[in-house]
Amino acid sequence: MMNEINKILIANRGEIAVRVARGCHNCGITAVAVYSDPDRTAFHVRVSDEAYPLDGITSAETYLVQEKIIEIAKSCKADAIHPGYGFLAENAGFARLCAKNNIIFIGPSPEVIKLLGDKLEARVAAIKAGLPLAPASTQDIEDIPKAKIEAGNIGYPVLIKAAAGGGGKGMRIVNDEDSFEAALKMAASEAKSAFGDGRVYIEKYIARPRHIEIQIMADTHGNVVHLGERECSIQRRHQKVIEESPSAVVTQDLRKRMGDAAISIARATGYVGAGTVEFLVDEDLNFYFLEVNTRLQVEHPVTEMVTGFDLVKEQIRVARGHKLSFTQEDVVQRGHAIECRIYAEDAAAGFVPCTGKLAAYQEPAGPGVRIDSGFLAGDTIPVYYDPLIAKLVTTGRTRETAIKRMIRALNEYIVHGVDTTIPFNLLVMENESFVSGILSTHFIEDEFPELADSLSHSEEELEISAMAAAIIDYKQHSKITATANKRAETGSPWKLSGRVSGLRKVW
Amino acid sequence: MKKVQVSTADKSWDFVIREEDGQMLITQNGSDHPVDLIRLGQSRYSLIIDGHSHEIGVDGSFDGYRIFNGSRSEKFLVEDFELARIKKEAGIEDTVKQLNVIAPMPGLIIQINCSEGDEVAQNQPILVMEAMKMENDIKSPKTGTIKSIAVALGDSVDKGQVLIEFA
Repeated sequence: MMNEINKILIANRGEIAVRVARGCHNCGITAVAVYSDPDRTAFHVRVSDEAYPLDGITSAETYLVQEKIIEIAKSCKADAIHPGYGFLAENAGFARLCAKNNIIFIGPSPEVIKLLGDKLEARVAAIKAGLPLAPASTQDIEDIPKAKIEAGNIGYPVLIKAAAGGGGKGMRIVNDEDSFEAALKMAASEAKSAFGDGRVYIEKYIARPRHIEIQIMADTHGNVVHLGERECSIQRRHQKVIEESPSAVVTQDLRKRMGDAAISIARATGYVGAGTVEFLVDEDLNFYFLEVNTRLQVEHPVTEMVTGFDLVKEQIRVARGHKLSFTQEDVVQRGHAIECRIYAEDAAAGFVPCTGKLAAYQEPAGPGVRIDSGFLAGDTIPVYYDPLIAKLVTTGRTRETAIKRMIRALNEYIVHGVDTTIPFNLLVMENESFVSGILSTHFIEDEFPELADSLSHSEEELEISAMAAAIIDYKQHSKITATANKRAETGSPWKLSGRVSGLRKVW
Repeated sequence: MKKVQVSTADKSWDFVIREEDGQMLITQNGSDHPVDLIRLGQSRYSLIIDGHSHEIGVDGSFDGYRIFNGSRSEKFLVEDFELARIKKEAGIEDTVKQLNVIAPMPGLIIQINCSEGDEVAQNQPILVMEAMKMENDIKSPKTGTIKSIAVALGDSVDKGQVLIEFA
């Protein structure tokens, strides 16, 4: 079945909306933007062919209002909706609403989104598909001696987790059998008071995991391929900040095994489109299924840069009902790509969002640099949405070259008006462990226990800024003095103008 | 010729600026540095000091200058050297040194971890604000004593609003 797609509504904003609009234009498709009030002049509106208002300010009033978006798509006769990431991208109800209105939702079916969006259901699906999961007790603990045996079988350290839990409550890391019983009791009582449910279970604790994920693409003809891995171990608040492909630790053999695992869960669930299967990888390179993201990821450009495929273009092909343009044999990773997310955030103050006007904004360029951004010079970063300014991607034949290019590009990047995570990214690029590829999801805490100190200005840099302040102050004052002197000599231009017009009246 | 003192919350520099035959010079600790400052736009300058090229941004929308140099920014107060000396002798603190805690973004105060009269260290988390769906620690900009807390739990605040004043 072939679907005609000539016009796509992009139900998103910022850099991803710009990225998708570019993908549309690469396919000769009309790109339709939608925008909130503060985004009227945003880059995604300016780069798109058509743009319609969502009338409102916050995400809840605009980009999340399904009916408004469907209404616009119908009235402008869009054939499909691309949700980007975030907002409605993993909303099964929205995918269903699109189908009901005969609009193609660019993504998997509502059933697949729903299944994989539920962590427990996804875990069951992964087990059925034969994916490795972190060893865990099969049910909640009732009998302490039995639980001890189970913990011993799983192997210490173990994690005691609340069955009803979340947010770290009712969670305990246990390093040996001696401390097991006390930890279990504490976790259970904490879970009881936090969730009114004291059930706990045991899971293998992975001490220093890497976060490594596999990009998959599937069409409606039964073809499923993987495009290799991305390593996203550098995270703050469980959010990725630096990603790369390939991973420094993934061998050809491990890549094949992880890729096959990702393909098998995609096949088992009837996955269609672009998706990502996330894994945790332990120090012995065992990998464990984490979850599936049923959308285009923020970090997809690193995969595009090493494989050469345009993932948005492939998404559109699949949505049109065509076969993927390539097979597994065609996927070859060439060279290395790294992505640094540039957020309007003050990393030294704990990654606090900084909003404001980009008084000066100049992106780096040159060999091996790609930048996907959502803003232009003079734009204001609104307070209402994610503070991601841009994704800076550098490539090279080797990881070392990509890192060197990243350092060069970060130093070339000019952002005046708001604080950004550029200094933080530089700190990581110049860090010895990072350069050696020694990563884990605890990287930031491990390497920079005092991040604010690590990020402080160098003496020389601060002195130059102090000199600049003195010189600019001097120039401004001498200008004021010069203007005042000039006025004293010639008299005020206003007075002069008044006199001339006064004379005219007489004439 | 002008002698100035430039200061941040915890550092200060003395500079002399003068012009000789159209060449601007900045002097620090007795050594002269030739300077060339060209304005590129509203708040953007190209600065060459001793042959080193810098791209500088300026935000002058408060008492002093917020200087963007490379990818970092810092707030500076520029004062006449004599005036700064007299003020110091008279025990008057300047505005950058007083540094109240202001809201970095609009949001909701969900936690207050300090009381009036508390001695706090620089970077010590003193408040928690909820903004952009995240909990953000607000840290003390300096070591000092808290004079007053201008907000209460559950208050929604605007960007730039004073949250805490230092003694």
